[in-house]
Amino acid sequence: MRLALDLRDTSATSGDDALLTRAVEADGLGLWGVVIGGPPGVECLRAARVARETSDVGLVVWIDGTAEHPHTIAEELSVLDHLSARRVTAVIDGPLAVRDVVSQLLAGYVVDGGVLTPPPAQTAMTVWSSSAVAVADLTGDLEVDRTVIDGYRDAGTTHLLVSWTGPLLPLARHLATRAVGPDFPQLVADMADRLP
Amino acid sequence: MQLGIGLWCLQSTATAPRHFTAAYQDLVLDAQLAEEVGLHSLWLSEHHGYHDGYCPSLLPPAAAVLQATHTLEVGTGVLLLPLHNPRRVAEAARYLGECFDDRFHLGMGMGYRPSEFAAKGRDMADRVKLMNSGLDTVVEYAASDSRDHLWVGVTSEVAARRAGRRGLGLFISGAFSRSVVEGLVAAHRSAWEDAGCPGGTRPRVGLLRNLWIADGEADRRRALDWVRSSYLVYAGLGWGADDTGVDFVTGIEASMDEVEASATVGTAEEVAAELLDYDVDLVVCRIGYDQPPRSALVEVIERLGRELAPLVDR
Repeated sequence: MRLALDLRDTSATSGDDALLTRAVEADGLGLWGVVIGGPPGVECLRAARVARETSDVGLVVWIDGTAEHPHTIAEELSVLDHLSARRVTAVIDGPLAVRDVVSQLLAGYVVDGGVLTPPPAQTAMTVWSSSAVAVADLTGDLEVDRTVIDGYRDAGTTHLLVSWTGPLLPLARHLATRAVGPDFPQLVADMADRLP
Repeated sequence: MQLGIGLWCLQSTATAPRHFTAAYQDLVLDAQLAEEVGLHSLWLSEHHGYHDGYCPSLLPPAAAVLQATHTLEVGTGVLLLPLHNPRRVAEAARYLGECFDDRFHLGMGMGYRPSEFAAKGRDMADRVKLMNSGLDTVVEYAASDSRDHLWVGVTSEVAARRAGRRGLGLFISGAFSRSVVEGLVAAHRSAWEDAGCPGGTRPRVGLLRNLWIADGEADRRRALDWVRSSYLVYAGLGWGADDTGVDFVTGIEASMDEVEASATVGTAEEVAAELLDYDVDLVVCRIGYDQPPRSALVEVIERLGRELAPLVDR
């Protein structure tokens, strides 16, 4: 299982500077992704800004699928994929039919006579429906959060979007690692905490 | 007079194929260079579903450029408003304005390709109605205290009046004769005055101009050939769009001759002398052709900033 740091509340409560700072930190610590949202129309703009400030972290863009035509949403995501050099995953919040059209266009299908140009940089961008995405509020108490992570991982969840308010190093060291598989050697993370 | 550059369309054309990711990465480099040499702005252009990937979504690249620069202003020249949800566009424009100290300009146009309207589930016959209602929505939500950063792209006096009566800037398309430009500016200004001067300050006029700095005859001829070839993109866009009243394809050589005749190509001093004859606030130098090698594009951006901009700074 892979973890993405959910930053939707960060931008809403602390502003975009805090969002960018947090995303840069996540990028440096090797987290799989950061989740970016916003009011309708702003989602991909925020993601474009994060893309400029980071180099590797995945950009999970949470988009309101009811505020614009699916073809326009697919165009935004495709352009963002080039701006970020293949780092975009999309979450469509809205009817499943919208998610399906966006996904088909990004995969290269002709939909209602319309074709998406430019195509995304990725072979086919992953597009999730918000109703199918696993989201968890972590507490910062590692004993508690390990149980949460283990539960999702062992249930077969592939990607978990997590909120986390504290420093990111414990998340990266103890939980993103643990999420990978059931045989995580906790001793290594615990000892790492004690290294100078 | 402020000096910007355009139009970045981010295509991979038949004459100059490239990877789209390279186009989007080069955009940021070009913008940073434009800022370094003191140019005012960089402008992007939009179409949808065209085979060469003509940029269909201008606001994410605008955000990326603004994030990568500090003083350069960025505009859409133009975003095709009837093909978008105007409330969503307004929200995005306001966001960019607030995040980047009003360095973002929203230029809006109407669109003319039936296939683009069809792909968005809209009827092109409704485009004037959609444009008018869309402009009203954007004015209401995008800029409550200022209309300085809202522009309307025009090719006709009707459209110029549409901008003027709302107190919005005029963004004049690139291949018009001086007399046509003067007519558009006059229509814009009289409409603004007739409407009671909305916004309080006379809205600005921007002029897109096919333009290149060239010192000798060989350089001049080469630049004019690039201008001519750029018309092929527009002929292609107009292919099948024969219910617009614009004939893009028949007599293409004659159209290329017209485009060439309206181009401003010469030394910095010659170009400045011509530009200063226009009663406009902003000139967007259209240099984003697909044929010039990257080295030539970099050179002309440098020369526009370092040589031409000081000459037209009145």
